[in-house]
Amino acid sequence: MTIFIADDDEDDRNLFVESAKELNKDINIITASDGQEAMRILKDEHSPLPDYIFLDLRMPRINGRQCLAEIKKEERLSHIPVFIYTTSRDVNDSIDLGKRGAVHFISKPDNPTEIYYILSTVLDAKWDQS
Amino acid sequence: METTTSEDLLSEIEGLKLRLSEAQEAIDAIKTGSVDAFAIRNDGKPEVFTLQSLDYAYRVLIEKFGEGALNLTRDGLIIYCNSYFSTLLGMPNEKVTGSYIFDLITDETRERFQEHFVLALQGSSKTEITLSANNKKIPVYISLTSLQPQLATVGMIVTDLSEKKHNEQRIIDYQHRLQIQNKIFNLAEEIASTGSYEWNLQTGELAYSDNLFRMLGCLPQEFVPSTEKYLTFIHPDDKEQLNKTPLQLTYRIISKNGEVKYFRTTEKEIDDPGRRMIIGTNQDVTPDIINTETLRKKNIELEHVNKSLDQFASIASHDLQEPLRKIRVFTSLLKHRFDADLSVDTRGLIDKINASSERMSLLINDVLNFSRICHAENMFMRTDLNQILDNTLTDFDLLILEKGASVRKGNLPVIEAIPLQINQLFYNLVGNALKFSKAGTAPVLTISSRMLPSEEIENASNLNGQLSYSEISFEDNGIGFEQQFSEQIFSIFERLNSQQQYSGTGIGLALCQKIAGQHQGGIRAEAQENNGSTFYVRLPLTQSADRVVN
Repeated sequence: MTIFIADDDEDDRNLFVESAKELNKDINIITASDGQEAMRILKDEHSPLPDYIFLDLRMPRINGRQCLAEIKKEERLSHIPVFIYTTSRDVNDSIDLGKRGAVHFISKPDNPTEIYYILSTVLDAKWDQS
Repeated sequence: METTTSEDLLSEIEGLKLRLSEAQEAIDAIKTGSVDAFAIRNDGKPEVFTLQSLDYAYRVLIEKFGEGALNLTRDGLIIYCNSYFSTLLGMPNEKVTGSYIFDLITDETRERFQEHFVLALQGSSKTEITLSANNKKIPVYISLTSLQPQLATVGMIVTDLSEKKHNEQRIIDYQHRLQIQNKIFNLAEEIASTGSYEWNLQTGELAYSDNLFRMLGCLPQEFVPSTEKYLTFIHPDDKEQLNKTPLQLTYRIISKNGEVKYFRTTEKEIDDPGRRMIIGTNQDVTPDIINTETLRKKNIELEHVNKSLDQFASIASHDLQEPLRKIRVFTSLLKHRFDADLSVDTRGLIDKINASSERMSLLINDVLNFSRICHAENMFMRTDLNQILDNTLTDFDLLILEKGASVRKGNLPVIEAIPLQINQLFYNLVGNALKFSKAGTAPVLTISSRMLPSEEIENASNLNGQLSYSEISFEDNGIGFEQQFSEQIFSIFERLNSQQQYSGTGIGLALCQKIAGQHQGGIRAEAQENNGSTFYVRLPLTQSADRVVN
């Protein structure tokens, strides 16, 4: 399984990677620290295609919303389930991004041990892309 | 045949002479009019003939011709006057006849009369004098004529000028009024910055008021008004708009000294028979236009500033929250990862760190809310306070249960308000009542309302005298406070207890006061140390129309 995460916060990235490895030590995780780098990697046909994409909303250069829009435009990427992984707890954001094609909206938990449980639920489930 | 002696003839001649002389006398008397009738001995029987038929027509004329007629001796004695004259004086004819004319004339005009009377003794003269009788003053025009040689008298014809004088006075009065009206009109034009004009469509004559000239930057009546000349003042870009008649338009002119002004012209057609005119008013609306424009620009600026502030507040609060989140995240990690290694003390220290950052988070949120109250858009709407209270109590369901609290609700009014803000207000007051309960005593919270009588509204300096107010009281049986602090508690960040005793940011009551103020209302508190407190919130039933949305 390959997971892709774009988040400008190094701590959040590390915690995420740690939790994912805890879940499954063979998981392959690709990271990006801003939207521009994220799109560069994703559009690179030589990189492995991720099974899941996690996007932070607030990122420099290109933000999460813009990334989502571009991913949905790319034929090669549009079928991949995209999760928004953010500090925002705003319900309006959740609704809005759902409309733009994100399959789920995850608020970063205060207690990082919860990330493990979030990931296990999310990566297990089947996500209907329609 | 009888012999006629010369004596007989002489005596006959004498007799005939006498008869002739009598007859001549009679004829003279008739001619001078001093005889009205004569009697003729006709074979012993006297016959009386009156001379009606001869002078009757003239007498009727004199009586009826609508002017006064008098006959005066050279001394001014009235030996005859017609009934028009005596009626004019308001005196019986018998009293007038036999008076001196001088006694019937006012002191002021007597001298003039005498001058003309003297002239009339030789010929004729006309003048104006004023008669005086029965306290009436009668202005008259007189015509004096000597009746020589037929009579040694002066005839006088009198024409009553009262009505004429009256009309003349009326005209003078009207002229006077017109002058005053004109002065008022000119003043009004100056004050109102208007200038007006009259355009006679038949003669083509155009007249401008003084102020119109001034508005164009010229001296009053500086030039002869004409349409062509007026067009030279119109701003070139606005010229073609002036083609409709009658005109109702706002356009620009450039005055003589180069000033650009906005004129609002309103014209009206007058279509009376024989008089087709257009009258118009130009109003200098330059200040209005400029003010409206300035206001519009300022409003846009204000909107921008408010938007920026809003954005700033949101972003600032988010960025301020970030580090706190990290504190929470890593203190969690610390506890989780090193659980086995941590002593109770160490865990306690970590908890304090966490608690502080939690508090900081709350503070940031509260401050953000507080700043948002200032520029709430005009979102006042019909708000049922009972519903808001119920929602608030539902929020505190768990706490109420935990504390065994009881709530008594009275009937609250429906008012025009911002529901979200009233929610925050009630939330803080109910929360405080539950938080500051006495240890070991179940909290009792009583919420009720009453209408404020007008004297109380007038006496309160912070309330709008034009509105009706409801006062909602939140009474609790908690720890209370000393009345001397009753105003202090509404200051932001002000606390009466330490942070350890009771949690809280110290913003809650300041927020309540701000919200009440936003609604043109107020809040005050009454309490006793250790004996409960009551918070009185005063809110108006209605707001001004421009604040309300439906």
